[in-house]
This record gives sequence, structure tokens and C-alpha cells, in this order.
Amino acid sequence: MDQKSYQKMFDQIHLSAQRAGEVRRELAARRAQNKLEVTDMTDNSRNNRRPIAAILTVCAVAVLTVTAFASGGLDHIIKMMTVQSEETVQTEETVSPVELREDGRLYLTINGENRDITDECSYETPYVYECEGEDGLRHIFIIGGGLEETGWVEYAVAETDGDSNGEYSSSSVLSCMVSSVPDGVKLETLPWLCKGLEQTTGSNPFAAQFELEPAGDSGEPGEPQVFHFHGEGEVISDGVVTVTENLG
Amino acid sequence: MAEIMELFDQHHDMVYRLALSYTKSRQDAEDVVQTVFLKLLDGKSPPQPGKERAWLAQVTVNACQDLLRTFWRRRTEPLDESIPFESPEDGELYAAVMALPPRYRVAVHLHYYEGYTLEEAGKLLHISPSAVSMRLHRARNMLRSSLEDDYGSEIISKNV
Repeated sequence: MDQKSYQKMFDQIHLSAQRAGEVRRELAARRAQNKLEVTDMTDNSRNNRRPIAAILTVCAVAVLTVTAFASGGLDHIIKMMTVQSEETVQTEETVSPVELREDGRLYLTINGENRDITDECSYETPYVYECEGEDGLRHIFIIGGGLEETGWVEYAVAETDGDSNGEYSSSSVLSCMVSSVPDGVKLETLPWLCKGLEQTTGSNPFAAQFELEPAGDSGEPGEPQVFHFHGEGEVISDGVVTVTENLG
Repeated sequence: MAEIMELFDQHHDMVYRLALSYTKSRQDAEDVVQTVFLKLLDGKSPPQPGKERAWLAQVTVNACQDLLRTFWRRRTEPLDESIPFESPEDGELYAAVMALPPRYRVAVHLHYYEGYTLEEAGKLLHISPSAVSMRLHRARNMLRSSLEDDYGSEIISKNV
């Protein structure tokens, strides 16, 4: 045997495309799961975890812009999710309120309260939770996707300056995470997200207003997709929607 | 994540081949590939910039050693008609290499395929360079004997 023969022989050996795809999906899934898990696993810290104030700290830029918005509200949510501006909230530090725990159940943890929402949300069905934050704003959480493709959106609305119809006067996306977008599915067509927005706002603000396009090939099924908004900037990076300030 | 996927695309065959040369099992080698890149994703002991390939090789060797130490390791595969080699000689050489003991196979692979020096291979395998040299010497003798016996001398070279 000479070295060239050995190299030629081993050059013909490759990891199968099928297995490579499986590993890619596993990597993407683990990555998505890591984003959902809160590292502290003690019960006490669980119960005390993630007050609204924590999110407001992370997303202060977005919150501060609430009063600058005109009435109407929900358009801003989508604008916040799609329009890049100079300042971008550090979503990497955003703490997920949703956690898939070792018992295989999905929990929503807000203000020290744990809710088992495993059976109440799915890819088709959103779980919606509303509460008042320490900022006086009404915080609305939309969770969906189930165990495998969990995603969540949080936004806040100010009720104090409602219009003549009593509608919310302004809104702002505080945090937004879609941990895993199934292959071939665009963000604006995620059933749980669209239904959740319709349920909480009365309309689907994704419809017709914005055309989100995948940025190139979306990769393997289950791998987070990257979307671009008409070339103005990346709105989802690694499965995380980049929440941006709308200065317009 | 994009960086990890890029490293996966660049190096998954290297990891797979090294694991296959060590474990002799395609399924085990596939599992090792996943283990190695999950460790990369885990990020607890990340590679230094520019040293990713060496890091992957080291983690692969460690994962294979862990696997071979596992008592209930269950997989043995027939050598392997499903690998579509270009020539019968390649298949014969593969069979001969895979018939070597694991510690010889991996030394041969690291030195003759990956191009590691005796010292570098020794570091990866946690043995001295002279031990690597000894394993290579014995592996060459065994291969020479095996290939001469079975298939004639045309694919044997005095280079190895």
C-alpha cells in the first residue's frame, strides 16, 4: 500500500447526505432548544424568574418608543418586526418566558407563575396570555408551535390613551422569538402566530402589507430560516426575530 | 450557528473518515460525527480560531476512544459492500486496513491520510511519537502481509 492509494481509497468515503441532513437538523434543534432553556434549574429561581421588568430592561429601546406611535397600534408590531433602524434590541439576551422542561412539558413562566401550556398550544393554535407590566403597559404573549417548534411573541400596548373606540393607542413589540420555522413556511404564514395576532388585535397585520422573503435557501427542514425584508435588513437571525425600533 | 454549520460542511467528512477508521462501523462513525459537532455547538471548550480542524480531530479521537471503551458497544458491520469504491483494489485495501487493530488503523489514518506528523498524531492519541512510529511500522507489516497474501503485490509499495 502506498500513501496515494490509501488517500484515494478514503477520498471515496463520505458521510451520507441523509445522515448529514439528520445531523444538521439535530444541530438546529439543539440550538433552538438552547434558546428556550433557562439555565437555572432550581425551583426557587424558576418561581422568581423573569419578571416583566427584566424584559423591559433588555428591550428598553423599544419600550421608550411606545408613546411616539400614533394610534392604530398593530401596524407598529409588524413594522417593529420588519423595519431595520439604527438601534436594534439585543435579542440574544432576551429571556424566553417559555421553557421545555425535563418532564417534557412546556411552561410559561411570568412573574413567578408557572403555567403548563403543553396542551393549550400547537402549530395551529396559539396560547395567549395578557398581564399588566410594571411599566403600566399591557403585555400580551402569544405562544405557539408546540414542543418541537416553539415560538413566542411578546408585545405591549398602552391603554391609557385609547381612541374613541376604546382601542389601544399604541403598541410595541418587546420581544419576539421564533425558535424554529418549519421548512418552506414563512413567518407570516405560521398559523399560531397569525391566529394569535388576529385574536389579540382583530386582524392579521402580516397580510398584504409586507412581503418577507427567505434569504436564500432555507436549509434543512426544521432549521431556523433567515428572512430579509426587501433588502433593508435581516429581521430574523438564527431563528430570532430582530426587534427593531421604528423611528418612522 | 452559521459558523457551526460552515464548519460542519467543511469538516464532516474528515470527522467521519477518522471515526470510521477508528471504529470500523459506519453507524458508530455517524454517531461520532453528531457527537463531535454537538460538542462544538455546546461551546464549553471551543476551538481556538484557526485551530478548528485540529480541535475536531481531537474531539473525534476522544469520542471514538470513549465509544470503543463502552462495554455494550453493539455494532459490527460486514466490511462493506455498500461503499461504492471505484476499483476492486480500493475495496481490498479498505478491507485490509479495517482488519488492522483499531490503534493501528487510527495511527495509519492520522499519519497517511490527514498528514499529521508522528508528534502531532501522538498528541491526538495521547501516546509518544515513538509509540506512533511503532504502530505504523507494525501496521505496515500487517498490511504488507495481508495484501500480498490476498491480492498480490500490485497495490503494495515499499513506500509504506
